[in-house]
This record gives sequence, C-alpha cells and structure tokens, in this order.
Amino acid sequence: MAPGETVLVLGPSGSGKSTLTLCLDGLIPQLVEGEYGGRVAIAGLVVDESPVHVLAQQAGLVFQDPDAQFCTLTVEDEIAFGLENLCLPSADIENAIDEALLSVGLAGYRKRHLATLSGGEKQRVAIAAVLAMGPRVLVLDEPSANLDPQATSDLFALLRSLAADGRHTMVIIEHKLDELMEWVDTVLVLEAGGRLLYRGSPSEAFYRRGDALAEAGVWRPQTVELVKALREAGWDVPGDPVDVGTTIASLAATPGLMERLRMRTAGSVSPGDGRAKTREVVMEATAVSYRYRGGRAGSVASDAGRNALTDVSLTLARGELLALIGPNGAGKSTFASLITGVLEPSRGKVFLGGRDIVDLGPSALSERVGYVFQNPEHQFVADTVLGELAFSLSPKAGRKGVRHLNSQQRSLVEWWLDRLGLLPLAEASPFALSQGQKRRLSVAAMLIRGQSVLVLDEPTLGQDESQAFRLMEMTQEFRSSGGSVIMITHDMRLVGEYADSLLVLVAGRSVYSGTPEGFFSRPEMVEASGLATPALGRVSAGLRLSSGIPDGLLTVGAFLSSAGRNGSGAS
Amino acid sequence: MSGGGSGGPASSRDSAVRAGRRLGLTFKDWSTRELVIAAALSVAVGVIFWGWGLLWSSVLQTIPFPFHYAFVGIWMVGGLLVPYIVRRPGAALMGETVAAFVSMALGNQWGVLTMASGIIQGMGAEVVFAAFRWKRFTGVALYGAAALAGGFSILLDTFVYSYYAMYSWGSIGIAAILCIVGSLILGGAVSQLLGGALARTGVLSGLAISKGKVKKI
Amino acid sequence: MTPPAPAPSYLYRRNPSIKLLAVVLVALTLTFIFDPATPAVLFCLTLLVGRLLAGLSLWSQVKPLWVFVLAGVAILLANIFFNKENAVSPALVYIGSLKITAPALWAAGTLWLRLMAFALLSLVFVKSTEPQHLVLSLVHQLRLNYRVAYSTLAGYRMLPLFQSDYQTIRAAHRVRGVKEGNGWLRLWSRTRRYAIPLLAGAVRKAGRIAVAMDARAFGALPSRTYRERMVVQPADWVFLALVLLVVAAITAALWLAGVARFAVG
Ligand SMILES: Nc1ncnc2c1ncn2[C@@H]1O[C@H](COP(=O)(O)OP(=O)(O)OP(=O)(O)O)[C@@H](O)[C@H]1O
Ligand SMILES: Nc1ncnc2c1ncn2[C@@H]1O[C@H](COP(=O)(O)OP(=O)(O)OP(=O)(O)O)[C@@H](O)[C@H]1O
Ligand SMILES: [Mg+2]
Ligand SMILES: [Mg+2]
Repeated sequence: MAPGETVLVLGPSGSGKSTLTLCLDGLIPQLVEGEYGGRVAIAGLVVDESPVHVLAQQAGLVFQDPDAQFCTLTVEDEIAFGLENLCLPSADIENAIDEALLSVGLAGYRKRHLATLSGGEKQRVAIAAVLAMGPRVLVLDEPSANLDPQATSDLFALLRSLAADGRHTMVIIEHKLDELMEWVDTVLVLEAGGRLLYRGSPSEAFYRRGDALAEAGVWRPQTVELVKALREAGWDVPGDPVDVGTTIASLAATPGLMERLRMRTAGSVSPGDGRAKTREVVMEATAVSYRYRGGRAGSVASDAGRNALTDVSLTLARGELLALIGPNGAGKSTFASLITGVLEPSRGKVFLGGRDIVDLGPSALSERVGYVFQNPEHQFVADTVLGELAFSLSPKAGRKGVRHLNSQQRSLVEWWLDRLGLLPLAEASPFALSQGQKRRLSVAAMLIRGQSVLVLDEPTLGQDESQAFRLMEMTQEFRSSGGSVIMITHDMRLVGEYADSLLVLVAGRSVYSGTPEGFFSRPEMVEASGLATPALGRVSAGLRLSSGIPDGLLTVGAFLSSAGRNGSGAS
Repeated sequence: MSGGGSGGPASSRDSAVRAGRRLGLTFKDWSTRELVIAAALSVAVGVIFWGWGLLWSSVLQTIPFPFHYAFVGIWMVGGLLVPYIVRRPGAALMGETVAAFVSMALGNQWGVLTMASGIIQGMGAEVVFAAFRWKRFTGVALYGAAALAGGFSILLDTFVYSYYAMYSWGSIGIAAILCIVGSLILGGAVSQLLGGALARTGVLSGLAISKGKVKKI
Repeated sequence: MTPPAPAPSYLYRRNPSIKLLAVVLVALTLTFIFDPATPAVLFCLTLLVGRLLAGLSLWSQVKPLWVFVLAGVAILLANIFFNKENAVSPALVYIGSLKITAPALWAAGTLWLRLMAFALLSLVFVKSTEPQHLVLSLVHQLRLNYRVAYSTLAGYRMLPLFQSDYQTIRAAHRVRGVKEGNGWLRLWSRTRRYAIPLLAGAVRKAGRIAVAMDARAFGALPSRTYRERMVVQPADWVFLALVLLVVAAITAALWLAGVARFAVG
C-alpha cells in the first residue's frame, strides 16, 4: 500500500476481513492466539517483530459497534486512554485531545459523557481516539454499520476529508459501497477461506471480475449492476462508471437511451416486482402515541418527558411490504413494539383484521403477528437450533425435545432446517451460528408458526450480499403466500428494491407515508428527514436534471422496464 | 520470608508486592480479553446479586433466622463462575469483589458492608483455588471454594450483624451448615451449569473453560 | 449507573479513597453499637451531609431506600418470634398469645436503622463520586493493578446495557409465545433463558472492547501516565478527621446520656 492510498476491503462474511485488520495492527500474531504465516510490515516495521505499542502508533483501528470500543466514561478520558498507555506526559495529552476533536469536528465535546452521544458522534470520538495517537494507517471495520443514513454520509464525508489531506493511508471494510466509490483508490477482495481474489482499481474489480465477485457473495455498487443490466439489454453504455457522477455521465452518453427514457411519462413507470395489487387491509394503526415512563438508562437527557411517538398511523395490506425508515432514535423500534403488542399505546389503537389487538390478547396476537428483534440472540429460547424451531410449534417440545412433536410438525421442522441449510447444525447451540444464520433462524422461527404479519427490525444488518439475498428471498416467499411484512431498515437500497410503501418517522412523528418513488423524488424532503436517496435514485434525479427524463427510478428493474431492450422497440 | 523485613515503608511495600506475586495476584498472565470478560461477567453477576438482595429483604425475610441462610449461596456465584470460566489466579477475588461493588452501587440495604462480604467471600474461594495452585477450577476445587466462601461469609455476618447477641449458638450453627450447603448448590452447582451452558454457545472460545484444560501458568 | 452530582460539590471534590475509608470507618463503628438511637442520629446526619455537602435533595436520598422499609418489617417479625431474650424477658404487651419483649423491639430497631444508615452512607458515596475518579484513586492511592482497574471500568460501562437488554429479551421472549411460569421449579429454566443471552452478549462485547483496548497499546508498556492524577490533599485529611471526630462525639454523647450501648458490652 502506498502512503495516502485508500483501500476498500470486500469479501463475504467470514472471509477474514476483520482478521486482516487485526494483522495490520500486530494484535495477530502477538496477542490473539492462532497460526500465523506471511509478513505484514507497516512503515517498515514488521508486525510480528515490533512491540505492540510501537505498532499502535502506526495503525489505528475503528470498529463496527461504537459502544464496544470505549473503556472510559467521558470523551476526553477516552481520547487520553491510548496516549496514557504510550506514557505521554499530561501536557502533550491535553493538546492532542483538542487537536483530535477538532479534526473530527467535535470541538465542543471534550467534557461530554459518552453515554449521551449519538451513534454517529460516538464513531467520531472513536476515530479521534485513534487519530490522537498519530497513526499513518487508519483501519476501519464496518464503521457505519450501526448508523442511520445521515450519520453514515457525515462519517464518510469525514473519512473522505481525512483521506484527502494525504497524511493517512486508509483501509476500509464496508458493505455500503455506493457512497465510497467516488474516492476509493483500490479494492481488495477476499473470498471465503480468506484467499485474495482480486486487488486493483474499483472499476476493473466490478467490471472485469464482477461475476467472480457476485459468486463470492460480495456486495457490488448498484450503479455497476445497472450498467451491466443495461448492457445485457443491448444498450451500449460507454466507460466503466462506478460512482453516481460518472454513471450519470455514461448513461447520458449512451446512444438512444435518454430518448427512450424520455418517451415514458412518470405515470407509466411500472412498479417493481411482486407489488400488491389489491388492498385488503390486514393491519391498521390509528394515531398511536407512546411515551416511555422515566428515561432510559444512559440516554440523552433531552429524551426525558417527550413522546417517543406522536400520532402515527398506518395501514398494511395483504401481501404488502412496508418499509419503516427514519434516523436513529426516531421511534421505529418503539412503533414496532406497539403494533406487535409488546407495548401498549398511550393513545390510539391498533387493529388486526378489524379487531383491537388489546382485545385479542397476547397469545392470540403472537400467533398472528411475528416480530423479529434487532438482535436475533435476544429471541433464542432453546438450547439447540432444532429446539428453536420446535418451540414455535410447541413450547413443550422446545424445552424437552422433539419427541413431543407430532409427525407432521416434525417434518415441518426438518423441512425448514433443510431450507436454512442448518440440517447438519440441528443440535448446535443457536448462539454458535454465524450472524446470517442466526438471522435466518430467527425469521424462520417466526414464519413456521404461520403468522399473517411479520415485523423485521434491521434484518440485513452486517450481512454479505448472498446472506441478505437469501433472507429477502424468504420474506418474498412469505409475501407471495399472502403474508404482509413491515421492515425497519437503514438500508435505502433495500427500500428501493423491495418496498411497496414507505412510512418515514422523524422524532416520533410520521413525515411521509406513500410510495418509495414519491418520497425519493423529493430530495428536499429526504434531506430534511435525515435520510439518503439510494444510489439509483440519485442517478435518476441527476438524469432528470441533465436530460429531462421522468423521475422515480429506484431499482435496476425499474430502469430496465422503462428502457426496454435496445433495438427491440418499446414493449 | 527472605531478606531483611526490617521495616521502613519501602521495604515493607516490596515484601507486600513479593507476597502478592507469590500469591500469583499480579494479573501478569491475564490477557486483556480475559480481564475485560471477567469484569463484564462480574458486573452481570453484580446485577443478579442486587436482584437477589431485593428478594432477600422481602420474600426471603419471612423465613426465620437460621433457615433463610439456605438461600445465601447465590452470593457466592461471582467468586465461582468467573474463575470457573477464566481460570486465572485472582479471578475469584476479582469476580466477587466487583460483583459486590456493583450490587452496592445499584443500592442495597447493606451498603459498604456488601464490599466487606464480597472481599471475604472472594478470599474464601481464592484461598481454595490457590491451594490447588490455580491448576484446578472444577470439581473438588470449585465446590471446595464454594464451601469456604460460604463459611467465611457466615463468620463475617455473625460478627458484623451481632447475631451472637440475639441468637443461640445452636441456631447460628444451623445457619452455618445451611449456608455452606446452600453455597454448594446455589453457588457451586449454579456456576458450573451456567458456565457450561455459556461455553456451549461458543462465545467463550479461547478462554480456559473452552479448552477443557487449564492454561500453563 | 448513577450520574454524579451536577455541580462539583464539596464531597464530589474529596479524594474517593479517603471518602471510601470514611464510609467504611463509620459503618464499622455502627456494627459495634447496639442501640437504635445512634444509627438513627447518624442516618439523619448523613442525610444532612448529603444535602449540604453533596447537593443531593432529601427526596433523592430517601426514595431509593424506601424498599427497605419492608426489610424492617421482616426484621421485626423475626425478632418477635425468635429473639433468644424473649424467653427470659418480661412481656411489654401481648398480642393474642404473642409475647412482645423489649429486647426484641430493641434489637429489631437497632438492626433496621443500622441497615438504613449503611444503605444511605453508600448511596451518598456513590452519588457523589465519579466512577472514573474512584478507579483512578484506587490505582493511585491503593495501588490497585491498573490493568484490572481499567478492565473493570470497561465492564462497569456495560451496566446500563444489562438493564436495557434484560427488558428487550423479556419482550422478545414474550413475542415468541413464552409463558412466564411462576413458581420455584420454573425459576432455574427462566433464569437460564434470560441469563444465557445476556451473558453471551456481554462476553462478546467484552471481547470486542478488549481488542479495541489492545489496539491502543493497553498494557503494552510496564507503566502508563495519567492525564489527571488523583491526589490526597490536606483538605481530604481534614474531612476524614472531621468525620471521625463527629462520629466519636455523637457516640460519646449518646453513651453519656445512657442511650448508646455497645454490642460487646
Ligand atoms: N477469535 C477467533 N478464533 C477462532 N476463529 C475465529 C476468530 N475470529 C474469527 N475467526 C474465524 O475466522 C474467519 C474469518 O473471520 P472474520 O471475522 O475475519 O470475517 P469477516 O470477513 O470480518 O466477516 P464479517 O463480514 O461477518 O465481519 C471466520 O471463519 C471466523 O469464524
Ligand atoms: N426503554 C426505553 N425507555 C426510555 N426511552 C426509550 C426506551 N426505548 C427507546 N427510548 C427512546 O425512545 C426514542 C425512540 O427510540 P427507538 O428505539 O424506537 O428508535 P429507533 O427509531 O428504533 O432507532 P434506531 O434506528 O437507533 O434503532 C428514543 O429517543 C429512545 O431514546
Ligand atoms: Mg468482520
Ligand atoms: Mg431500533
């Protein structure tokens, strides 16, 4: 790696990306046990020969979970921590703290308690804490995984400015590619088993090796997928664009494409696949409000005494997928708890199939509405994978063993295990599964009960493309059998690709309810809600400005059906 | 003791440090991961201590004096679960003391005396593990530690809460027996079961409990 | 986690180790005293100190303690039934066939007020001390191993997480249709059902924190420096001396007045 270079590391889950970050800092092989081979050198220091404290000044690590990298209570103590470990005198430490906070844009935050910071601010403090140690290499392992879209773009903007000053070499592991494409120099792809699949420029990675990447289960930028799909449809898209700006230029320069797109009027944009045709309402919430009693321990003080939710309404049709989006702390999880009966609204009512869920009672409700929590582990109740599924059919079987299931139930459980690819792991502890497997198991444990509404809280968090795809496949199948899904997510790409309708919450209030296209074609509204438009939405908006095409194309599918095949005429 | 322990603050500190080192409590061979995991487990156990304290001062107080001592055993878990998992010198003392501190900080009726109990119980367990030269943390060692922790704790209670002023020595004796038996079950067995269940989840990989053997000290 | 007092009050500024020593000494004194009056007086005095020197409102000091009123009732019942003096002492009153003796009431009152005083002392200590300062002071004054101290602080940070995770897990299990069985037999299965996800999550998070600490050279050098050092100032010794003096004076006065009794007497 050259000084000042920015490297993006990609790879499917478990391919060793995080392991690589630990090697870069010398934690492997010095502090983590295992077998080590090869040679890593930072600034001429070979990691297995140099002391950890010397290496720590060369490479700084920032991790996914903002809370799981702090060990003190206030911002200044946290930044001082690393410097104290290096035995710096206290006057130097004071200066370094101020400098580091300035460089991440948190100048006034010195005395703040870490517990009172938002997720995005915490990540900035984590970056400041390693910057203060003056590293040449900054290593970031999925730094935006727990952040909302706005905080993510703020974080990326910060990283970009740090990269631009040329003092830091940066290694970034991320699943959210679209925003990074504009300034990443090199892409490094690992495949399952940890072997290096590719190293080179982004456009080359995604265009020459795209199929190998797809096979490995690596996320690709949506823009790349769009260009490829258009080429397959016979359009002659010039160049190999990877970021939004160059994609707009390339598409605008594609012979005949803009004329074709212009021919379509906004109204004829056909909805994405699998959208609900009839509206048979299964769930309805009327102006529900909720206020937590007492503050949450460690929460921001200003939370106290305000409603977590105010007058939020919703109707959910049979077979519909509704995306619930909004910034961190907007009340999404709270709303999910209200419509699943975990919490009872302070005001307003929730109806399921025309009946008030309060009258329905908890057990009848849990048979009809499934709720998969943000952390799948919280929902595990049995000792084995098999027991998890069995429990959903009969609690007794989940506790005491599958012999308490009848033969029909047993074959159902086995069918699901087979589908999840967990048959060999049936007797393993559910906690021992990989993140993606845990997620799918917890969804399956809900679906197996045959509920009609499923609520998913951040289902694809931290997963690679193939895992996320398999999960979305499960929900699509559930919908085609008549189920309705409410999905909380920060992933705008997922929203664009799968959602029929959108409910946007900001500070506990509903600010938008309607189609995704309608929302994302109003950039001022998107911005005001602290959200971000998916990459293709930005491409489509850019093309509208430059070439006057109708707006609201959010998915590859929507683009394709508007463009049609080149030469074959409009269909 | 070797050399001249002839007084002077510096030399007496040196000998204390040496004694500590001989006891193995310098935490030298603990990795950071082991330390933080031990601390996190201790804090979690502290929350359990606190909850049990609420139960104790309400429901369990209706059980008359010597008999409610059968339920004291839960308060030994910090000094047993943590060493059972981490298997390092000092784990018992650290686990029990930190747990006691947390239950005090959350607010309980014994206040700072919780710390005294915690330190005494932790020492009881640590002494037994030390007697096994910190090479064994299962079976005899674990249950021996549970018994001694329970024994130390009733001893402390008798004097701190002046039981001898109120109760006959006979009933104090019954309390002691119940306390030790309770520690074996609620302390020792519960720690073993919890530790085992936790090890099966795979999160303890790399720690001594998951290697099935004690690391070289 | 209890937030520290808002403004740096007098108690907040005292060295945590000295403050802890003062609390321990007062508590120890109380364990040797066997009468209700002394703990009652010290309880009120602590309330006053908390109000004036730590800036804690009376309500915020009393509110967390009121659960222990129940403990008082239990102690009273235990003494009425089982105090060994009951057999040899004359009855004050009979309630039905129940003999209520002076030693029973005396012992119950003493023990209950003692517990209340212990609890309040610790409460004022915890609420007037920044956890970070306590840890630093344990390292600087009591020579606690700094790796243990900082790891413990990292673990202590996870306390609010346990509370919110516990609520979430309860809700998550209810959604899965788990019925909350009462009764002692179910207690173990219920404990385990909650404890395993809680502990597993804590262990995993602790492992990540440890990596983040290692990556910042924690424990890589034999020693480390400190941005702020906890020191014992003359004012801290004055505070300790005052506390001891006041407690001694109160005890002596009550003893002269014939109220205070000593346990070993
Ligand atoms: N401490 C450990 N001990 C043993 N094996 C480990 C340890 N940490 C990781 N592994 C294994 O090493 C492999 C690579 O894991 P790693 O965490 O580096 O993957 P990753 O690419 O970062 O995945 P993700 O995208 O899910 O974060 C996996 O098979 C994992 O199970
Ligand atoms: N148990 C609780 N007690 C008190 N306040 C709470 C509790 N849970 C959430 N809150 C507060 O309610 C508001 C909404 O929280 P909620 O968890 O619903 O947000 P969210 O939209 O799901 O955020 P995220 O994207 O971070 O998951 C926040 O201000 C939060 O601090
Ligand atoms: Mg990783
Ligand atoms: Mg949420």
